[in-house]
Amino acid sequence: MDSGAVSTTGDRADRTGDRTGARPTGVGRAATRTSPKHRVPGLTGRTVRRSTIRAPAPLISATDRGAGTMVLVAGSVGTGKTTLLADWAGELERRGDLIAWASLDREDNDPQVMAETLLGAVRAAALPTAPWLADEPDQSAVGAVGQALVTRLLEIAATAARHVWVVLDDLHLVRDPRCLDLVELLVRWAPAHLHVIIGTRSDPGLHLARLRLEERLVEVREHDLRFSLDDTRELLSRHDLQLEDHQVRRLQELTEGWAAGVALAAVSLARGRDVDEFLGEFARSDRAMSGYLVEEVLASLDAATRDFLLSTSVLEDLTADLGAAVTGRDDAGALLDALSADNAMVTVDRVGTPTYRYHVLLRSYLGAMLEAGSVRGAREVHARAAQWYAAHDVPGQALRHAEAAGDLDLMSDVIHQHALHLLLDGRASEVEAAVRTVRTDDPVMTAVAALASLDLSDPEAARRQLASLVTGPGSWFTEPEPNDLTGELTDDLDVDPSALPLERLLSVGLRWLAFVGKDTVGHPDGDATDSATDSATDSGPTSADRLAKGLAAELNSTYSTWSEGHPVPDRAALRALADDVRPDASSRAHGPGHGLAVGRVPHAEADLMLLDQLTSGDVLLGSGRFGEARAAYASALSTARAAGHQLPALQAMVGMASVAAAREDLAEMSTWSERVLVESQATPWAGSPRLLPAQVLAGWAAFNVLDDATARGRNEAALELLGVVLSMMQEQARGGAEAGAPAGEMSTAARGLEQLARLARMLEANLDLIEGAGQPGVRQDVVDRVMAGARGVGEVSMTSVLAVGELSRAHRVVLLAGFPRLAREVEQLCEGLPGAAAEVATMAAVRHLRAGEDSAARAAVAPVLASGLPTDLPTDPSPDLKADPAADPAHRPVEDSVKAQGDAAAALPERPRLRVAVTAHLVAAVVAHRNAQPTVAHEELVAALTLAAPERALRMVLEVAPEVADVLAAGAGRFGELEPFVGELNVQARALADLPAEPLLDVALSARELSLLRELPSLLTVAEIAQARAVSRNTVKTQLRSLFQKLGVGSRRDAVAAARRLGLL
Amino acid sequence: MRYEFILVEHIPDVARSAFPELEESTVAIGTTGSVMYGDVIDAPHLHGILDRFQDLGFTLLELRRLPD
Repeated sequence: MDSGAVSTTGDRADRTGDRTGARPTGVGRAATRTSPKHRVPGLTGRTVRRSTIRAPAPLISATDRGAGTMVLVAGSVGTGKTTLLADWAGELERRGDLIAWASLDREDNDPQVMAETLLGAVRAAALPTAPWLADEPDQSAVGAVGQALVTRLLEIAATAARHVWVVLDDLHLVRDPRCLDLVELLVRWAPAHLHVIIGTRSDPGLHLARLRLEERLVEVREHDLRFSLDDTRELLSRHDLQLEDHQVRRLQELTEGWAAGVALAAVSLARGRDVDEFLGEFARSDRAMSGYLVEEVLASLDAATRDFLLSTSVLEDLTADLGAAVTGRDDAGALLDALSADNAMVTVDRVGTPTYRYHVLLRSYLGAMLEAGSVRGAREVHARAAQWYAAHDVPGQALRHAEAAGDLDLMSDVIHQHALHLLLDGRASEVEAAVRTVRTDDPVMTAVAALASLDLSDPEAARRQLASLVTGPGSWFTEPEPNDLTGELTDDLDVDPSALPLERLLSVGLRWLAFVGKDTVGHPDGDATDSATDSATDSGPTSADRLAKGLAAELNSTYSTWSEGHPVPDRAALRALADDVRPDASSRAHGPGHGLAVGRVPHAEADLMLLDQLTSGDVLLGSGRFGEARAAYASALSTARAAGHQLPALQAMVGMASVAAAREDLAEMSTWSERVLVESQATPWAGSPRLLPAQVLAGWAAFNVLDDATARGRNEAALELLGVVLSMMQEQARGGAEAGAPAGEMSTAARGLEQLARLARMLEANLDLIEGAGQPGVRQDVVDRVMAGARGVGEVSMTSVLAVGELSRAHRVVLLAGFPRLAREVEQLCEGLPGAAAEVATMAAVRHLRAGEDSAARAAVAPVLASGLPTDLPTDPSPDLKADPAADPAHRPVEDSVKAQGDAAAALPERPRLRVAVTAHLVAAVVAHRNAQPTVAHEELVAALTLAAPERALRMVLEVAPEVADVLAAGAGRFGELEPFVGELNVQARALADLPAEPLLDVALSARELSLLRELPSLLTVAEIAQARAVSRNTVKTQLRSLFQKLGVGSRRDAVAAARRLGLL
Repeated sequence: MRYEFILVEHIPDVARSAFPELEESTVAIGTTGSVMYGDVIDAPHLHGILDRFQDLGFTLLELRRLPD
């Protein structure tokens, strides 16, 4: 911090020093440093304190309503709004209040960006009083929209326990109603200690009238902002000008108290103009006041400086380096320094690389002059700026300036070089817009546009774009080269290495489409015949046909690429990879314009390779090829790390976590998912739907090691985000053409989401059960939810692996809640599934064990134990429970490729089903323990722990039965290298409040009552029941009364419902 | 300052509430348009009104300051 930048006002300098000094500056927290957007603009020594407009205090009328105050500062350009707000900020902070500052710009005209800005401002403000915020990933808020975001903002503000003033400067730049809705919500819900200050050039469409009525609004309008005579005099004196009283009054009249006018006049006068002469000319001038004054200021500068200002005026933020590149002047830095030192129209932000900014009024005039002078000149400047930004890897700005330069070739160059970079940084919408502007029939552009569409979740557009490519002349599909995907450009050494090879773009696009698009990816067979009849005149195959063929070929080659010669890295190597966070990777700025200092060579090739690896991972994971998917994600991670791409690295780790979860590799699952949470926090991607799997899995990871509080927190965040994402998808589906599309048409991505939702809901059920263990109502409710999910497993298309996992989780919840009958039902649901035999046997064994049926439990696990360790379920990608794969032609390409590659996949070593093995051994151990066979018990326990320890599967061990703790205690001191794990288990076993498996009815039903209960759902009358049982009607009535009483119901219908809930029917 | 706004479209009743500070003239312009007038505090207020016209999809045909 160079405090010399802020000249005379000492308190201001101190305050600014404070703000930055308090921030953690370590590498890992680099991103939490306040962004320039959230820094209160520095005031210079020439700033006039507006004694007439004091900083606002909370309105009593608002506080009485328990609501915050809103302050509207509305004034035209140059009326000193920002200066006033900055001055207020200082005053408010001295009062002990907190300032959440946001300098809005055009980029905030996007709900997502606006949400991030608001959140960033409030977090930065609350950080000094609530330092834990820095460590707390904001999972729920970014990515959340509307109410969820505002709720989170209010929560953070509440932690501060002081008055928080959210300052939104330049709100007029934000016009999107969804963005303004956020502000509206914030204002509407603001509690008594949260206030909103808005600086704007045009009244916002907030309900100002209502706020006025509620007496919550303070208005500072244009006439309040006018410089008084005293203000004018003070400003002049700060420029060391001593004017006569009548001269000051004259200037005040001529400028009409317009702050910028007085300031501009002061600059001119300070450069030695004779006061009376200046005022005379000013009065006679028939030009607009602003124009006259700006010209006066420019006239006072030497020609070289003027030219410099002119040609740099197209840039909003300017560094010395960029200024030099655009103007060709080596002394740009010194020049800017000098300008900012004595000209009120040039301000500087000295945190980090000094960044200069021209006053918007000056910039507007300069821009107009530049255009008027020669359009070519302006374009040249834009083009040079574009090149500079492109070379410094700020592709967003590069595109913008290339567009302003009207240079489509340059734009196209930038797209060729940087489009993938932009995509990987999550800025697909900019790419899409740019490609639309360029509008060429360049196939590479079309392919890039398709990738952007895919990233924007518009598979239909992508399908059209890809289809248009494959019907073009010389399409590559005729000769698909299966091995052109490995990322080496060995055979094309003469090709420009920075250009994007079309084939590989296409193959990435197709693979991505296969993952994101609907399953019905054209019908290879059906369409072929259709097209033969449809288009007799068209000799070639239709585009849909070719697209489908291309897709099939692509999947095939993906499988073959990754099944051969890609060694799966071992854990140690992966850990090293996880920790290899390059400092520059985490601190890379995301806003355009703020990352100017970092210069990197464009790496189109590396970007493409990265996309290639990521999409491969997704496709492989989606088709159940976990080993290969893991290898693909690992490669993607190392590529992303090497290139410093943050979002793709996170996505790769999400992939690793998902693969680990699918393989029941608990240790890896928690490593990767937690890693994602840690690394994503304080980045724009925290809480992004893209990282949702990591959130859900991190919740489970905490749950697996019995950290219920953490699990609950993470899971709630995940559920909230899921809700948002699912509602967005529903909206999309409604907008889609086919209303009521069958569930079978879900895309792979949508199925993944459904699976995540199931996982999160199951975890919620588990946690609810643990918290509400003592309350039958809670148990009942949890079991109802879980059973509804379990019974629905057959309804949705889900691979058998996933279905078995879901049912196994449901089984544990139901059993733990004390509903053995329902647990039996879950086993039956599971029985029909391929490869579930061992799983079902283990489930039954645990149920028997809990019921005290030792021999039955023993018998159930015997075959599992006898067969050695059960192996993984078949990694068959296709068998959906509902959709018959053979009936759906879309599955055929996948299936064919499976057959072709089946042997390779089967040969890969798969991990044993961990839970089945651990549980089976533990059941055997507990049975032996109960039957006084301590040696057997110990052996089986050790066998189970040997498997569980490397995964730190604490809950998996302890939840089998309460007696596991007893067996552990009996073997104390005899566990050897397993001791640390056993120690952890012992600690947890004491803390773990196991649910007593007590019956839910206070009084057990008699055998007669039970049998009578079974008759109730029938349509038999009491008389008929009595007749069938050969008893009197009154006997039946007595038994019914007793039954109703025990069930706590008043009617036959309620009795049936209650019995069903309890699992008695 | 009082301003008069002439719009190409007739403002439907549902949108009237978006302009509580303006009144609508009963004199019809052509066959469809609306004439609104009212007190405007300052330039930001004026631009706020223009923004609202735009947000609601109305086309501003004419705008002038009325003699106070």
